[in-house]
Amino acid sequence: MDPMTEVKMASKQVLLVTRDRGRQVARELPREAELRLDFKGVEVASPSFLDELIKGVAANGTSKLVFLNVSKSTRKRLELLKSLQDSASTTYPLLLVED
Amino acid sequence: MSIHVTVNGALNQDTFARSVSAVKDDEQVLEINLRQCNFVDSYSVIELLIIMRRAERANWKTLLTLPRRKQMSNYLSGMGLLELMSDTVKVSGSKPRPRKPDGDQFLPVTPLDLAAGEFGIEELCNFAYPNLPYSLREEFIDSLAEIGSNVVQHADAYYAFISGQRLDVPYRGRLPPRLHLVVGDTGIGIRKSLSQAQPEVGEMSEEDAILRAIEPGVTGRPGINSGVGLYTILESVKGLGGEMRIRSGSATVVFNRQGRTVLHTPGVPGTVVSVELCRPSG
Repeated sequence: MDPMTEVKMASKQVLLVTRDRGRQVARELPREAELRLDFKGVEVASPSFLDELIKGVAANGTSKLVFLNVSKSTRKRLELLKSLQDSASTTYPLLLVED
Repeated sequence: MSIHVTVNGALNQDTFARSVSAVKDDEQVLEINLRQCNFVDSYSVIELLIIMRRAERANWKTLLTLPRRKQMSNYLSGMGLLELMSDTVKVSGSKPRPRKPDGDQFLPVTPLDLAAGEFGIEELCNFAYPNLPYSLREEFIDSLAEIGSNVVQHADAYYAFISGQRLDVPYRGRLPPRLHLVVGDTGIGIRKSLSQAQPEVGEMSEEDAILRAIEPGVTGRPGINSGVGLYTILESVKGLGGEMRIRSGSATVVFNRQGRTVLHTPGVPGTVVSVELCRPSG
């Protein structure tokens, strides 16, 4: 099986904070079925950025998204977004967080 | 109607509501009397700027009486009130020195560049970030980004102001370093903004609309946004033992670990959101 494509998010920005930025980053990501996003070096990933990133990645056709090296607060935000996604009609990719 | 802001002593986020009165008359006057004022915080400066800009838009006459103490007038000038208010305001009192922001204002009171959209907010985040204490950086940037973006996306405002201040003294059990973010706009307010997507909110009080806006998953743009911004900020604030204050129209709701309190300020327009982050306490 091919290893999943991994992207260093800090190469985009260290402050990932707006919806516009989330959409832009999602557009730049490889259109793969599975992606690993490494947040090492990212100082802030705001809820709106993450929301837009995940939606954009879903629109790219990615069905599995693995988050690496996220802060405690980013992990909490991802859990919140997942819980809201459960009650929304939007189809999100499978979100996994790895230490 | 006329609106009067009369200050005897300190004008801050706790005293602002009781300093404002609205009188039903045939006048269209905004009168701000700071003659006896001996302190003003960035929250109040932004509130005053919002009221003044709205009065200008409605062609009201605006009168501003500066503090009797020259030192206080200079401080007000340093906070940007005189530089950022409209040119049509009639000012009485001795002329203060030109604006020179105080050192504790790592983000001096500044107009938001609404035309720049969210990338303008991102620029502000990048500007403020290096000056923030490590322990509160993430929460402050989150708050600035989410509240600033709300103004850009939802407020339909023609003016908005923002400020960030570091305070190194304890206040009401909140421990330093304390970071105070204030974002205010002249826009349509939370009730009207939310009611565009949820018509039932239009029938609510401003206070109930604020409480609705803070719930996770509630947004003025359902299907586009997820409604996580304000909720996330409030969770951070509660976790740290800080305070979040949302004024929309005449209602202000103050949230902290102890619960919430509601204040009423008659006749004031727009929305002002302030967040105080502080060193975590037990």
